[in-house]
Amino acid sequence: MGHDGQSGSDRRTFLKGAVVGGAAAASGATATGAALAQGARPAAATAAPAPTGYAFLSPDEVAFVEALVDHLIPADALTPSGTALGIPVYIDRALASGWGQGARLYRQGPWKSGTANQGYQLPLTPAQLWREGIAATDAHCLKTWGRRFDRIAAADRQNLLLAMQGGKLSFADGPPARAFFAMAYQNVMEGMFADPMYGGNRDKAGWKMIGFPGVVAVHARNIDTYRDRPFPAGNPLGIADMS
Amino acid sequence: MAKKLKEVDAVIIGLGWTGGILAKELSEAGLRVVALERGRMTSTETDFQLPQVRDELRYVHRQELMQDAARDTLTMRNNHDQEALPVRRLGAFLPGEGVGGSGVHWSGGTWRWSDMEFRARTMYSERYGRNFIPPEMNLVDWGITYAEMEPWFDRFERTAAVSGRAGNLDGRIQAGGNPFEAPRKRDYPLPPLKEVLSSRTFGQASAALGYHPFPRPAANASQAYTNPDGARFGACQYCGFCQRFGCEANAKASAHFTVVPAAMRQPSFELRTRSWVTRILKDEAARRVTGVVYTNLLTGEEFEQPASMVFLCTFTLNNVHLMLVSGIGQPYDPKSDTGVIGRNYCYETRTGATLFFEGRHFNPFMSAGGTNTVIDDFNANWAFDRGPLNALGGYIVSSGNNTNLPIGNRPLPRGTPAWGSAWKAAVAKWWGSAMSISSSGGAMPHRWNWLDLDPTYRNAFGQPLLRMTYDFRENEHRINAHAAQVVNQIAKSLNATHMNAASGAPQSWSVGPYLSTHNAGGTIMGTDPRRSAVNPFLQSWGCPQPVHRRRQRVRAQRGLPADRPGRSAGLSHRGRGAAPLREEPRAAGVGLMRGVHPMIPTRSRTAAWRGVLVLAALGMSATAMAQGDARRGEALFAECSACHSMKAGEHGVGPSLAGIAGRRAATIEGFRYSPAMRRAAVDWTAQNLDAFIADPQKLMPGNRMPYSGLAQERDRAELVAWLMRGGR
Repeated sequence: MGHDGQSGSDRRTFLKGAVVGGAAAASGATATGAALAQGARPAAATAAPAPTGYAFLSPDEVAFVEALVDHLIPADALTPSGTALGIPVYIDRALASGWGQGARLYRQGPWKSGTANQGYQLPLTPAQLWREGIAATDAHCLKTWGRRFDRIAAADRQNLLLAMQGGKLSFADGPPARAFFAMAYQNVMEGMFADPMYGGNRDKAGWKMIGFPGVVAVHARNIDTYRDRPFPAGNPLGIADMS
Repeated sequence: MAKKLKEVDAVIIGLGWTGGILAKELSEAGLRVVALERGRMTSTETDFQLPQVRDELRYVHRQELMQDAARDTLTMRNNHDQEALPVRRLGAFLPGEGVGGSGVHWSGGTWRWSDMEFRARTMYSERYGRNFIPPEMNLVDWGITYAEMEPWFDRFERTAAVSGRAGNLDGRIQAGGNPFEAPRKRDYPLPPLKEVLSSRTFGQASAALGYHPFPRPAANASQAYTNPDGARFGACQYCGFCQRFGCEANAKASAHFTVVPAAMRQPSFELRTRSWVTRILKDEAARRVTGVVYTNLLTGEEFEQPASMVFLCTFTLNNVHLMLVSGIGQPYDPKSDTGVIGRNYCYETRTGATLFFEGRHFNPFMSAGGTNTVIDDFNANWAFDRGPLNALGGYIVSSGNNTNLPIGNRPLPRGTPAWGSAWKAAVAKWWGSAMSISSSGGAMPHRWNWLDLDPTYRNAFGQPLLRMTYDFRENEHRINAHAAQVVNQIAKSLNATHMNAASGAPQSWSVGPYLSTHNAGGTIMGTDPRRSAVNPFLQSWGCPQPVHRRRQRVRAQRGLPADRPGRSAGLSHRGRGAAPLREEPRAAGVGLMRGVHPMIPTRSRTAAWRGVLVLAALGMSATAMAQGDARRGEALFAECSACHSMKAGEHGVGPSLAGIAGRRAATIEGFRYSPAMRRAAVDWTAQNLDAFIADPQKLMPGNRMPYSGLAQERDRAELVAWLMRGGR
């Protein structure tokens, strides 16, 4: 699954040494192979225009996010890797947007942790929680394995993420690991399945994987025609295709 | 200092269904009416355009149409020993904002309430004895009866193009309808929506077990429709983007294109958007409401608007908040069980099973808001003996498709990994092959479930937030456990490849994830001023005038709400205490909760009942019958008519198709075509029309017609011929 330690290291070096552009393109080799194996069009022909840069994430943070995303969404016969799908770009844009900066979030104190039923109570915007969560996770990885998150072994990464998801890990000095993971996971799912115009779900690979037809949605007749039959959703359309 | 404006007859706070109905009725009766809406104006043409309206991230996950919690929210705790904390991001329920309110983004589920709700205390006491109702369940009768409300339910169903099948016409049980519904004088205005595979599968299984499945009544127009006020509805196209979305075809009823435009045609009506009411003014000595103070959200200026009558038509929770911050009515105190404002806040319980069928295709993305089949055997069915269950109320069970979009809805068998290749394979395998069966049950009032003002947290206007103290109680646990048994009984009978069984374990209420926007109660109606906030006319007991000055008028008004009266006591959706519209159930208990608004809606006696218009469409059909092919063409056009008209100059989602024969594409002045259509340089010959209808994106990539194509060549030929003849 995903990168091994060595490729992560290379990636970090690359990211630090260059203005980050089409981060996704760097992972294209695997992605293209998977896509071709599936009979899809070559990645080179289908990839959206490369993003011009990251608005919020720093190079170190990009390395973290790519490692996380590719662990959750590995390249295989179904889709290219999460990074090749543009999910880190999606996340970066989401964090730079109003949502990431705390829009629609009640932010007044005082701040109490509360009960689980009382929901999110941190004094952090989504962008702040990502930033602090990445830093705390990296610190935990350095302390435990002597490497940052993007360079630890895949098995260690898996166990670490399971512990974060299950609330079994507490950062010494950082936000609640579970809250960070929950948000990160949700954002990865958004990047995989949201309209491609937001930067993820490149080539609608997430939609194609499940047979979601996208924005073309006049189904009054289709309900009868395709009752208990597969709907031909092989070429879903996004908002940009109809704009 | 607030700038004082000229007095009007009536101020309506909040312009959703409730406020919209009132706005129309009061202004048509000649009253000077000002509606104050905190959100923006809503118009289908500008706000719900294709393709942007098909955006799950924006509308579902970023909550585009909802109340902005950064500015105003509430605090919550499960019990009075805890400290309430702010709901920092909306989750469990989603009040809407803007003209149309939550009625823009609802699913359209429309239920009638019956005397089982209106007279709950009396009926349970008579059947099971007074002691059957637990001492802490503050259940009261509403002070109205189903017989009084029936005409108004009917009126709302016709206003909102409700599609359904009658189950009880004047006491005669109708096959295929809900045999447990209260008797209705006539059928729904439109036939039921189409059945999807999940709803059909559920219906067959529940019928085999002896239950009584029927199509969920929903304000989703199953056919093109014109309501009694002249509002036009397109036929629902089952686009799959319903709950949380506005409808580009006006197939899902909303106040913003029905009652609100009717009000706006009246010169005595004025709408002020971006106007946030901070308090209701009253003359303490006279026990009268005298007007409201509001802030213009565009400038920050504060205004005082004097009025003879004030109608509180905001979301249930906000109505309670305004009553409390304005000091109208005595705040409820659970310790002494005195006071009325904030009393009997109620909600809803749910449980469900998910079934996975290898090789079956549920096409979850094809749905309306109401493409569900329901059983009411354990809800409106008074023959269902609650004695052994030792609980009041009930629940519906249903299945179907409703807005199953991929970010938020990816059912998987329990135990599936949450990420990695195994997760991907499972999502790919099951996304289209899963269906769920769920229950929705009422929640009864309880002495220690209530609403008051928070001592710590404040909104953007410096006012205390509303505080909610709420949890499910023993009655809900019993109802839910029973529901889980029935859900699992039906689910197991289907022998799915995998089944995630419904849980009947006691649940505790949480602020997320989403559960239901059927918040109810807090300003309940009743006949005892010590145990209800408003009287059966929905007037505040504390300041009765606000609603009507002339007592004699009141009688007629009560009913008003045409809308889902029942539910809300009248009003609809939002207010209601009702559970709105929910798509879901009328949860039995919900009614009991009695939500209800502080003041009411009204329909004045002077407003004439208009009667139902004969649909133009019916007339057209009659003509077509005489013309062979044309009838077939017209029948095929029914699908197109959700977006297109054959009348010159009448544009919907798509342009008028009058005179299309031979016309150059994208040449009607005044319609905003897509760049692709404008670039195409295509003339609408029969051949080009045929190619376009076969696959719109193939002929003109990037055009905005959201249609996947008509595959059958013969159908296309007849439709094209009919179009080329100008719709004859």
